[in-house]
Amino acid sequence: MDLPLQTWIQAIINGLAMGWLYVLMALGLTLILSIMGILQLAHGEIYMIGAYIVFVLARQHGVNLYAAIVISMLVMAVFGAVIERGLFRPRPGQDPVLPAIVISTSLTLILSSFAVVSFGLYEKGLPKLVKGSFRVLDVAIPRDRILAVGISVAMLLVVYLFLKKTRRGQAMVASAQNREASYLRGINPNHMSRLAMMIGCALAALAGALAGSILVLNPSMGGLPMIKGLVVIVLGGLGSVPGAAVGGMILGLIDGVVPVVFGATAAALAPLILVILFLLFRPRGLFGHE
Amino acid sequence: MRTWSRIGIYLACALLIVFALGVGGCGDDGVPSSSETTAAPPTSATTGGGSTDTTGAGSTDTTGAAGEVKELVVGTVMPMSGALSVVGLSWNRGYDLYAEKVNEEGGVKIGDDTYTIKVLKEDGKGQADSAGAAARKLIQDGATVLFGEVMDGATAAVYDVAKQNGVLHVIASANTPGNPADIGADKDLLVRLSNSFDDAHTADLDFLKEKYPDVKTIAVSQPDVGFEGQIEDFTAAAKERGFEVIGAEKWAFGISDFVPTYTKLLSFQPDAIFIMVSAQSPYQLQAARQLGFTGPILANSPMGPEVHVRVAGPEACTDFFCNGINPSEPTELMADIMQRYEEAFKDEWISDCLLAWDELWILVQAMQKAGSTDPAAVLAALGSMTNVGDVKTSFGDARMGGMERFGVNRALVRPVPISLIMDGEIMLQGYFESANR
Amino acid sequence: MSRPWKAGGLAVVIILALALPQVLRGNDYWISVAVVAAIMMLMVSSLRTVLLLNQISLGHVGFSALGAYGSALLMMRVGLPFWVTVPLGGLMAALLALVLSYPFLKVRGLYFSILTLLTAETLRLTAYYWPSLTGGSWGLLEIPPPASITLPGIGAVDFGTVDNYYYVAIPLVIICLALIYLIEHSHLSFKWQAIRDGDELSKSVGINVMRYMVINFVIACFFAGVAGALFAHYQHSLAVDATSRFGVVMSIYMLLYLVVGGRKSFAGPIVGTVVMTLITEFTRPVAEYQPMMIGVIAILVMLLMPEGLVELPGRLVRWRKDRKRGALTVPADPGETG
Repeated sequence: MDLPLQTWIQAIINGLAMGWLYVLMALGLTLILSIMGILQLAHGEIYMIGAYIVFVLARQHGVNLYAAIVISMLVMAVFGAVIERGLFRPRPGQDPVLPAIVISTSLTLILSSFAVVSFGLYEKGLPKLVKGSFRVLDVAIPRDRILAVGISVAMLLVVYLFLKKTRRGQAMVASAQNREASYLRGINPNHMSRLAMMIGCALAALAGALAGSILVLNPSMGGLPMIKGLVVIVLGGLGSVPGAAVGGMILGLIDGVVPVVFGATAAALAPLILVILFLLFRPRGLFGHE
Repeated sequence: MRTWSRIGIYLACALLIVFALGVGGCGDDGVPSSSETTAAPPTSATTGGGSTDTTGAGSTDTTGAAGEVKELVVGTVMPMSGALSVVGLSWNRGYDLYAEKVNEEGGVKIGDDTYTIKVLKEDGKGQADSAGAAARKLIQDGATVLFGEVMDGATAAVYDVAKQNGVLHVIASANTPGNPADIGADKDLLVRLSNSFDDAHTADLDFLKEKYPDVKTIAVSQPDVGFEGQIEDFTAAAKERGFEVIGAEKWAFGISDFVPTYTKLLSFQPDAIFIMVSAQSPYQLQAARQLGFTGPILANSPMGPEVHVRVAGPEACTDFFCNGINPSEPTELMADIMQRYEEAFKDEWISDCLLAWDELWILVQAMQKAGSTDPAAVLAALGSMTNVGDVKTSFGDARMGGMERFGVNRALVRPVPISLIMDGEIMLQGYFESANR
Repeated sequence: MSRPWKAGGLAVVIILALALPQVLRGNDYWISVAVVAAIMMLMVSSLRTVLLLNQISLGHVGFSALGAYGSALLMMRVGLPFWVTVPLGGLMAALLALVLSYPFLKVRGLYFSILTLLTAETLRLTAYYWPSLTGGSWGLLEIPPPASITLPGIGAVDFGTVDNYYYVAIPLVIICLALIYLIEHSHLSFKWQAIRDGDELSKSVGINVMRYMVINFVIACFFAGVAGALFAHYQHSLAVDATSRFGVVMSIYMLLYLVVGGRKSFAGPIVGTVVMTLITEFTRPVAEYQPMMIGVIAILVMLLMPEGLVELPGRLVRWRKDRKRGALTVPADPGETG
């Protein structure tokens, strides 16, 4: 474990620079979970399809990368509204948990299979957001990762302000806390669900697009970020936006430091064990309410 | 309706369906026979035939000998769905292209007879039980040679079935040469007609020494799949040439972010980095350069150099060499194959195709030498083709080898290309000799 | 339905099942499909057992893996015979379930599902990164089949072939399913139903909720372990990489098989497995589209026929009856069958 200081710093910076991805995924998941009460297991596939949409627009049709990302977010938001209404709307009298799990896992199979079949199989890449790396005190920080951090911090603030300051947002928070009571106050839970799903999907698409540009694009890219998002919302607390931010940073740090210090085995197992422990001993996470 | 009656009716229906199939003959009636066409519609008609037609131009009496026209049915068990389907697709295409070529020419002469080739394909899914079922189905549908699979457990399952049925099994790709599912003296029907990727170590190290004489220390990046044997092999070969391997860092399958791995790797401060078999080598290259490493990087990646340039960018692709061919400098035969690929599959070129083409070609060469398609005769023929030039491949003259390592000469030993990339420009350095064992 | 009907139906099924290899003689492919399907039936049935408590376990494959490796290693390293290692494999899975059940079942619902999912992944990764025990990424190869026995008149029977292993696996699966059926119609099941309907109420009636939940989970995982062991000695090899039978995708498939078949009825898992297996085999020519098709089927069943395909005959009968009666509308709103 005696690594040079430079390596430690690099590892920490790496981690923090990757945390953004987890934060974006977690934000969407936590909104959907707290407002709709379901675990969107297909969130990783939404992320992946969002990335592929940008690929089609930017690589195959020459659309500007940033414009393509915005379009992809809108498209996936609409898609989210469609699946919320068509697939996830609970039937009267039916327990929503099992159908939600079944439908979201089926959606996972459908979307990933669709991607494999239609987009071809080999890994692809998106145009770079920005090239090069900063070098600060012998530590290299790729510029595109910093940009991604900036974008997601901005999104985090946007979502936070939306929930706190706007009427719609406050309605969503109320609906999350108590669905029936808010209904009595005139807040339509179905509208809230739809809005939550749309925002969640848009955030996932953004995350996918950014990841596609910084890392890689392939049909199975959604699996790992989904798990990471899940870990973050357990750590941070279901339904909490600050929780998602903090949890994301913590997981990012773990993912940046543990592989370097302890190796791949520990890196694979550590987040899982951490979540299991949290779920057993502190299910509401760091900032959660219930 | 009560539970048991319901079960009764459902199961009875299902079993009756299966009865009918079993009685009605092995799978021809209700069960569609194995997929014979490639995923993208091929433009040539020869492999698109029905289940009982012999593909290709009809009888050829031009040979003059009183031989018959027969059909060689080969079955491939490759992952066709799921995450590994990338690999399965490219290999299946390679097999198909070679079969097409043979059939276009009217077949190949083996012994007194002329054979056309039919390729049946089944999905192995990279899983042992699916691969086993796929192998059984292929044999049922008439396959007399099996190719497959990509994951070692699935390969073992295919061999299980091949052995029970006395069918020759050609391994497509060994994840780690020497693993328990690989060839061995105790496996009478198993052969591998693709090379052991670690046979390129010696050629790569020689090239490194020649081109970068100042390099003393090397760090290795390896996938976390039991490559200890390969690391030992590489370390020993490196030592022989005066290098020292100062670190080997593992990364888990499925990750796409290599920055943490390379942070660790670079903390050893190596002069050069070796990327061991990774389909993600372009991303590893990118990570290394992003973190500021300027030394030479070598990779024995299945990805072609053009993929590296496209993904990592020309600035990162400097002082980088790999064991792929330069698509702009193909051999004549490779050019032909690439041409056929482009006509058949409007898709980007995947160099794995060449490996599959070669496998089927080598099988045919062995059958021709043996004068028969009998597995024992074919294996004996292969066992005798141990001089360079006895086996022809798209990479050049090759041979069968592996006695020292596996106890039998049943692994292909072929030349390895090395392509060097400087500032995004790919330059083929030549075809070098594989390790001699 | 009267008892003669029930017994008759059951007898037909068992006779058909046992006679299958004779009919399919030489058709190794379908026999192998049948063996794997039978093992899956057991797995999915054990998954349903947990569902009786209204808990969804997404980690059954982990317990299955434990049973599989346990049985295989006991036979290979310790030399115990098949008939001992299989139940022991099941017991190992049950033991782990016992240890984990208390904390897991305390949390319930969604958390329980996440916990089981992560546990299965942890078990899988542990096996993957422990080469000296499990062969690691190379997997465990050359697992022996049950030792051959000599029967009068037939000679030595080698259970390494699919044909013969069928006669080991099917009776064992039938026995296990029968056990599950009996358990479901026993006292235990009443307690489980009470817990499902509301544990506050159950507690007030004096039912020790935790104890019965633990018993349920342990039993379910025992059978998952047994199924895993049966699989190990059939396949003669085991692998734990992400795309293998012990990965997350298989947990998902099992849940889908259960839902498509019907979760409320005992026959559900059986029907679901048979139907989905047939679909999987018949769609071989379009293998690339298989996951998509399975997903679509599952969604369709979940939306249109939430009780599963097992309800299909019942529904048809009701529909025909309503038409005969001349009902003005056919009740079709989901609330009725929900």
